[in-house]
Amino acid sequence: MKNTIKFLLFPLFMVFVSSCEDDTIALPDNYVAFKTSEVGLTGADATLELSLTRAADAAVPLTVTLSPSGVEYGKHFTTEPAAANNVISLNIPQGQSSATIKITPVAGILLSGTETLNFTISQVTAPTLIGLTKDLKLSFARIISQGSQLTLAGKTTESNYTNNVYVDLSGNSTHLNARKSWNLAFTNDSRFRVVLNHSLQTTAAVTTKSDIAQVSLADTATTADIYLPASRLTDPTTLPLVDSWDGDLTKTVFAEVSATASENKVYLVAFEGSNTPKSQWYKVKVDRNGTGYRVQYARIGETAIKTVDFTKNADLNLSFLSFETGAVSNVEPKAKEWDIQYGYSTYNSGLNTPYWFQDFILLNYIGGAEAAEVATSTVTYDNYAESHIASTAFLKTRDAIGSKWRVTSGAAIGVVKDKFYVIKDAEGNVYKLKFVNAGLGTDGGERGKPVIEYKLVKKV
Amino acid sequence: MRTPLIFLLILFIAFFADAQKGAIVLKGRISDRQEPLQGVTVQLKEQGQTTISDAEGRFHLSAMPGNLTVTFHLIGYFPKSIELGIKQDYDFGKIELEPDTRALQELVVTGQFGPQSMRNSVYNIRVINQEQIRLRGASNLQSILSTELGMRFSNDLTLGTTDVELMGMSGQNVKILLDGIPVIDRGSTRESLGQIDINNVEKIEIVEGPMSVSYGSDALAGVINIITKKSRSSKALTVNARVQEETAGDEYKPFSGAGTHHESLGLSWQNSRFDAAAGVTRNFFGGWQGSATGRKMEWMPKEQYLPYAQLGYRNTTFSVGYRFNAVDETLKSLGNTYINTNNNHESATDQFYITRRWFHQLQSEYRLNSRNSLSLAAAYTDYSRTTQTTEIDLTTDRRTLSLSGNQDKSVFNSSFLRLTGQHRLNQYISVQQGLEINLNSATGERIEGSPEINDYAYFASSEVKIGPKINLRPGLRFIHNSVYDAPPVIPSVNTKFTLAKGLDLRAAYARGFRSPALRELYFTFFDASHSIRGNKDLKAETSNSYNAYLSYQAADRREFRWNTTLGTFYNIFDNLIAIGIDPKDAGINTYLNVAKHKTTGLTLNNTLYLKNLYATLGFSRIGRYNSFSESEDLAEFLWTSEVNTNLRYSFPKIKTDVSLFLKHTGKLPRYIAETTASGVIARPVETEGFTLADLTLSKVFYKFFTVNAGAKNLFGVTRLANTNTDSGGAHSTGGAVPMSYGRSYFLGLSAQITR
Repeated sequence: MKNTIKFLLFPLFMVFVSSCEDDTIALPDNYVAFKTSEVGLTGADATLELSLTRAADAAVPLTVTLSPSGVEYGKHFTTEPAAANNVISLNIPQGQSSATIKITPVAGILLSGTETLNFTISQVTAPTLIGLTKDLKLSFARIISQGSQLTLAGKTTESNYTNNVYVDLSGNSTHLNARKSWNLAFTNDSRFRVVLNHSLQTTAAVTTKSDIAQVSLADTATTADIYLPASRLTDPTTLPLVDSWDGDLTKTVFAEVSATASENKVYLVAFEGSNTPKSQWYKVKVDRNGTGYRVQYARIGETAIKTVDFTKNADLNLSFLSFETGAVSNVEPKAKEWDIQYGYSTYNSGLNTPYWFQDFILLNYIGGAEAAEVATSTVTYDNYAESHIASTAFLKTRDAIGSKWRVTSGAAIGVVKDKFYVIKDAEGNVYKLKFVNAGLGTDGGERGKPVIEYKLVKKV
Repeated sequence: MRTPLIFLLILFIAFFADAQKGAIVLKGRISDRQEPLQGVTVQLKEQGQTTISDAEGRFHLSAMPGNLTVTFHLIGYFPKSIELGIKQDYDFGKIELEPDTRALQELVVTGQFGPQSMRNSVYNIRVINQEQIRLRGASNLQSILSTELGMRFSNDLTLGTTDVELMGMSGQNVKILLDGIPVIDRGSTRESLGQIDINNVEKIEIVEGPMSVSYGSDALAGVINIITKKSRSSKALTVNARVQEETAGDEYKPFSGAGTHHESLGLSWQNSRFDAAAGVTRNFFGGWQGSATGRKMEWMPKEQYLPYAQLGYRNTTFSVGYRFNAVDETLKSLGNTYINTNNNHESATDQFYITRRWFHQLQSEYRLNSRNSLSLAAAYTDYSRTTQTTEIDLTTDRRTLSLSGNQDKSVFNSSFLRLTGQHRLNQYISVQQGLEINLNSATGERIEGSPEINDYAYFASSEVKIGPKINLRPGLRFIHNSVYDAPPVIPSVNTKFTLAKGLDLRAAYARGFRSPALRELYFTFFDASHSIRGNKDLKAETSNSYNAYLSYQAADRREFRWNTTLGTFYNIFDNLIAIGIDPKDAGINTYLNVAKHKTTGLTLNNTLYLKNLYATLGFSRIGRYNSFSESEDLAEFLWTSEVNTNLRYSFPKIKTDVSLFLKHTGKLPRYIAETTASGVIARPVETEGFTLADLTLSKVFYKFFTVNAGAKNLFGVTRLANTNTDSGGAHSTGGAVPMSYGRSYFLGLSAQITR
């Protein structure tokens, strides 16, 4: 009897132990969908993206059906991959998370602008499911969107904020730009202003010299320390090392570029990856070159100075220069073709010192966009209508939305639900916009890929 | 490694130098009124031979014939001596010892060479005994300790963890032992204290002040040694069962969901040589919604399974026991609902923190003779903590893995070996020496690589009795660590002086240390707003501690006993590890030996037994160092007072006890650095005081069954107001301090059936 009990205890115990092993938890369903339901063809061609919610576990074959209206396949347009009987077969390979369809109008045809092409995801192989945005309407002209939901894909495998995402609300489009692709930007209007890359922890300080060849490591002794480690977060002297975060172009670190070269001082510039030790810093001198710019720069200890000359481009708010390539490029879409930008940015730590923010929403204030924050206690998102515009106080500053739209810590973590935004776009259309999720707390989103939802309130 | 070999050789010689022969044999059988008594020391006063009684109470002793005085000693019993003239083998037959129930005869083991009465211990040890645990109706250890003087618990509701503070020092300076073997935690928070099966705890011993010579790292503020139940009854088979239901404030659902649901089942068996036991406790806490809304809870739901098993063998000179304790704990951080943008279903993200601890223990003792014994303690801990983020689709009730949420598994493994030898050189001097080996390894998120830390220590202490009134206990510990430069030697001196009858003074100096934790050496955390790296050049934190306790047994009669103890302590901690800016790279934060701390205080404890009344009254005033006093004209210490009492009245006729456990903790002041326009200033802030009180009733019926009922947290403490208003940041220390979830009621039934 005694022994029986003794030997019974242990098997019983082992049963318990084995019963508490994990059940494996399934991966979430994978949905395939278009990014938005309506786009316009503005350039020479259009590319539509079908994306999965996560990378494919196995190849995903799918078919998309075309329904042309006023146009005919082959006669007015072609697609890549090609359609057969208005059906396109696509395959998203294992490990990939998207496929694209490129639509090219046939050269030389004349279209009225009312023609449309509807795409429908008609079939996908299980276990992949068809998502909510299974239809897409392509107009053969620029559209003014009635509203959409968009994912702002700032995140890559590198970080949650690799890309700056420029959003054109009226066109339902996003434009990605790697935040590290430039260092300084230059105004294209009548002013000669220099802007630091706010997405690259850029800091700058003026030296006492006007001749770049005369500036060396020794000058750092008489210049403000432009390296901002976390320890200087509470240091109030760091404020003058960055451009004003409200976007006021008269409050940049660089003074307005004078027509007289001898009045333009040399500046020291540091940025993420080139901020410590001091020998990594750059020395930069900007002068006018007729109606354009001449930029001279080099690492602080170098004697070989690079010189870049370029003219202003009226289509763009700013011209962007990269120290690495020495090239001037179009980082932003055209001035009127974007409204807000999502990404990493220099902003107020709260102590009136610079801090590097993820998830910053910047307004295209140079291009003329305006934004307002509306409390749902005043009027709800759903009820906000054209009649409310007159009583909405719009701001024209860069940080009109800024970091207000989300809380990153504490009990209220997540996107702000009791406020939404109204944006007067660069062309004058008014949209109401709310943030759906941002991967903060447990909102169902993904950090670095916030989802916005917006609706047209008033068309120009 | 030559040291262990030499060590073993010394032991070997010590054992065999003691062999002897005898001419006649004395034998007998010792018992109390009910059961045979094991472990009674039987000594021949004139000739010095000693033996110990076995599990059946039997003893055999060789002696030279003549007039002999035979003495019988067992802690917890009144000693007995028999004088007689013997010429040949003699059987004493049955010898009965009378139990001594006086509190100071209570047995303690922490830091001792062997079981020792509290009165004779050189340490001032607080004991929470079986009776206090049973009457408390507790479902975890923290609730028992929360009314102890000098104990304060802090709750992190984001992580669902609770940390202990002892005499003004946080949990990382407190060593948690289970039967003398360290219990590992993943970080500085002593979560393990809440992960021990309360039903399996015989008693809790608390020693304040460093115990680093005996127990090594982390034992600066003190040790909490949890002693598990041992089969002591001669009954062959015992079944224990317990069911308890408890509300969480005013939230409750029967048997699952809101409230605490506690069930336990245990079986034990033994005969004169072997014993075996196994059991499991299920402790479910449904969380407390409090001020949270939706699915969110202010206090996270917690599900614990705490199984154990043990197997032992013993004879008169040798015992060995294997014990297995496990923890399977899931903390559930429930997220609020959102609409899934892929399918428009209402969904939610939940984060589960799953802790698994498999704790294997082997303890063995070998008594070679009356003067020499060997003890072995070995343990292996397999610990993992998993962070699992899942999405639940509330339309289909399907749970899937979150792809963007945090998924992590941190694994810690620890091997522990302690070999000690106890040698009683003569009646004045005893020596204990030991070897301790700790091997730790870890992997996981935010840990750089797969580090291993190995720690080797040799320690020796001796107890010197100078006359009947003075007892000295010097000790040393030598340490070698594979990673950091350990303090080469740690000393301690404990003393006990009997000043007058019933008046004892205990005074001690000890050096304590805390090894840099694995996280401090190997931490790595770099993201958008953090750059923190561990520092492999850290030194140990060290302390110098001084304490003195004066205890007076004012009355010691059967029905009236009164004991009072006045204590004081002063601790200086140096080289405390804090986060600071890496001197080699200003862009990175790292751990540095920069801070210092001091604690000091005064405690007064009174215990009174008066017939059926048991009452304690305690008072403490603890001063915590104010680091701002270095740079500003501010007081060096910030003081907090505590008062506690435990009142118990027994009604023996109806087998009922009524108990009140109460502690008032005064306000906790401190200073915070505040950046203002005129620079950084030290601003005084304070956390308000609070009173915890439990009122319980316990009644035994049908001999085997006990009903427990009562109210916990009578004053309904929830959050403590805090004048620090900094509550906006990610790691804010401001806002209200969560303490509990309001007044709760419980009803429990337990049974113990033996045959």
